[in-house]
Amino acid sequence: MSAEVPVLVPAALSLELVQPVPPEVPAGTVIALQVRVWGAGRDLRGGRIEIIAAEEVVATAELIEFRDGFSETEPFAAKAPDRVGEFTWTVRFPPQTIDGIAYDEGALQVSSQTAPHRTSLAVWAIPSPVRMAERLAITVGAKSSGACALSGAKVEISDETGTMVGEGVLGDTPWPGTDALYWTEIGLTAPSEEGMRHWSATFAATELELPHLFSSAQFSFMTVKPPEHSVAIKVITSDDATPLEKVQVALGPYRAATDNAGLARIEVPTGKYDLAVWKAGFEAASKIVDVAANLIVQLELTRRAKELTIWD
Amino acid sequence: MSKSPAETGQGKDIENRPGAAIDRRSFLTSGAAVGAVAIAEASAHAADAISWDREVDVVVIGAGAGGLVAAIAASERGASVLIVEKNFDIGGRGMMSFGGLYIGGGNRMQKEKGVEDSPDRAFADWSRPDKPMGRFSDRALVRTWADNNLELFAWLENHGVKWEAYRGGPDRLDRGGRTRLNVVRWPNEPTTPARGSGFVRPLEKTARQMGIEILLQQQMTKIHRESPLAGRVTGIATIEVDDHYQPKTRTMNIRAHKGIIIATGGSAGNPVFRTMFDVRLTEEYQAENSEWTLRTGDGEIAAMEIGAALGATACQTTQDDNLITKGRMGKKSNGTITELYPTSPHFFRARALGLLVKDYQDVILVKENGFRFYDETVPTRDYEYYAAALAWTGDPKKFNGGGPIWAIFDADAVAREEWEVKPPHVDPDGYFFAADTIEELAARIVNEYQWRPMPPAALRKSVDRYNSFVDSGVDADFKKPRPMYKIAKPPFYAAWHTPALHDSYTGVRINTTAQVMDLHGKIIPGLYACGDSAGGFGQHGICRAATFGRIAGFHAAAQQS
Repeated sequence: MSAEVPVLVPAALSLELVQPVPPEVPAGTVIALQVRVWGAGRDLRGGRIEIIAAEEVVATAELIEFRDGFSETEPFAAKAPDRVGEFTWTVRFPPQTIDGIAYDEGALQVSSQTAPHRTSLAVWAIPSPVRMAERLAITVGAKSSGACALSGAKVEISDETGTMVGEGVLGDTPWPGTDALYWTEIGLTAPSEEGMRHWSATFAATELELPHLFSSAQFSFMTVKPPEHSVAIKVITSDDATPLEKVQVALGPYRAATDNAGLARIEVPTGKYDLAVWKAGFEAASKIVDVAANLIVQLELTRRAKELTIWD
Repeated sequence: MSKSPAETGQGKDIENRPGAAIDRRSFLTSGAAVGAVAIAEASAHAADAISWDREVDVVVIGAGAGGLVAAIAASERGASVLIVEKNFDIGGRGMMSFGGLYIGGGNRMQKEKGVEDSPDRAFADWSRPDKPMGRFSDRALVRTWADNNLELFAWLENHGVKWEAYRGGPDRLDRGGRTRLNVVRWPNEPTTPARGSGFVRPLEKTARQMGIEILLQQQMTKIHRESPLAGRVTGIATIEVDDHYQPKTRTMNIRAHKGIIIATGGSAGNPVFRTMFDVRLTEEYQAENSEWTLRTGDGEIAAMEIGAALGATACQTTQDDNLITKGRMGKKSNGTITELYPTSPHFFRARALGLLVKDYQDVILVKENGFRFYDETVPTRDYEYYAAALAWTGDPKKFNGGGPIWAIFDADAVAREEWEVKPPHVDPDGYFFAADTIEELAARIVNEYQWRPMPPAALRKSVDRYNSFVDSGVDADFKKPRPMYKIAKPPFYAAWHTPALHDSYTGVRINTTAQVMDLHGKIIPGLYACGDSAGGFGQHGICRAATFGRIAGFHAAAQQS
């Protein structure tokens, strides 16, 4: 007998997605789709599926699994539109013949919305304290949530009043150790008054291939008067007066670490300062120091009691 | 010398007290109502009806520090002994111990060092009323420990344990030059640098030479008693388990003619059990060293099901020891000092080595909500730190426990601490994250105990605020000693830094012969407990386990079959 008698199954096909498309996806990102087709319980393996966006086929896949009367594709990629807004895809089973049986068209409409990529910033290598009116350089990096290349995009620096005080253009390669943090160094001038500064970096690129949201990040530094005196700080242990190296020393906002003779030198203007020292394994110590001339200060550090350390 | 239960006033049967439970033997001799006798006999027959797969004099549950000592002690007094152990290797918590014993009494090592000591002094120190660690202990048990120090010292030496030295300053309640005595690490222990191997491996060797059988991967599921709440214990039921402690099909009933010794390592790893004592210690807190031993309170639960009481439970909440520790970070089972080599057969459970923070100026610690909660630099026994860490942060479905704590740090901190921020040092599967920015870092934290995503804006705010404290010199929120380093240079990291649970300091109530007591103050005949499964003495570690394990072994062996 002849096998060449096609059987038409009009309007008996139904399509569904194994996982629904999220209601919102980042613009231009790739979404994994997996299509399942019911054709009166028939094995539709070898059949073709199309994804149609704006009357154009943007992805195709083949039905390769047959289970419980359903035929399925493997997960396959479809790229969401680059523009922000609603979009609709048609998941289409085109008219085709499978195993000698001719099938009519089946289709499913899916809708979602694209959103711009988020961005975030890192600001580092900020010198602090900085002398009033001096030049300083900071490093700023920006990251796209889609890990998009941000080379050539601009970042701006503003002071507390919102006045732009500097800008830079992100370079071509990500910062070492990061996935896609594009960065640049920005030169700035410190204000001519003393005090704590809370400035911000902003990213507001509009020229990128994919849409990106604005982001900003605060950073802080201190501005100080030029130094007048040199303070030498010597740190020793309280039990046997051994000089301690690599002790972190802070005289007000000024910072240094002791050398192997237990000495740190800090230049400061006249004034009254909190002297604080820190070394892991020792009790923190501090004292108030009046600086009106060059000065030598000694500080003792006490080891933390053994019973306070960690045992088994 | 140890005092007998009669001398200490513990364990006396209190049959004449109105309403007191009466065990089977006293019941039968007291000539009680005929119907009740019939019931008691029926249940005794029910016990006889168990089909026993094995029969020995003494069954020891757990092959850790206490269990190995108990087994050897019972064996050398002529009993046939079988040990069942849930893990695929012996050692239990003892294997991961730092390997120091609180042992004194004026032993040879102390004399060599010119340290004067005596059982009286040891007793006085460890029952000190001025320290919570000593205040709540059962003084009869403390006395027993002190009186056994010298004998135990010699006994352990005779059974293969080698002493290293008394080292370091006073630890916990020791005074007057007595301190922990370390054992010599078992040479080439392939699994862990911990010294505890120098305690459990020589004892394992001795036990095997004595012909003591150790059944590995057998989990005790029940202790059989003549009747549910009366009579002698008769044996145990076990089930074979796999490497993940999942039950397989083979079960056994093991008859114990003389005694059953519980040495299951305590309950630190069982959230349901431990929250009986401190309801804040919910499931996110991991028991240290659970890669070797889960410490799920198996012995305590089985004993309580046949009527056992708990002992000196206040020891569990003294806040005067490393009950909770800061631990390592970047791995789930975040014990403090002891770790496993990546080549260890147990490493599949640890998944990472973890990172130890040398200087807490290098990190900030935030809760699941992204906010700091305390001065990061406080020492590991600061219980105000833990109170803050365990405080509620807003989970509407969970009011107890404080959720995950994350250490947040930057590339500069990694360089200062010389951390290696990749496996096997950290566990990127839920316990360690890296990102290019702070906001991204918060969004990356996905963990089984993190009930909501960490709000990126909150973490950003915390970091910015902390960085401004580094500029100004003052931590206006938590008074951390002069904050020294900003968290600024990418990449950024988040490492699991949730407090870890060190040990349990209570368990079933025992008397001075390590016999388990019931809720009516009566001995459960044939049942013993030692180590962290036993309550009454808030002393951490392997000396208490060995002291009462040895007593239990001797006493059980002397029972009539």
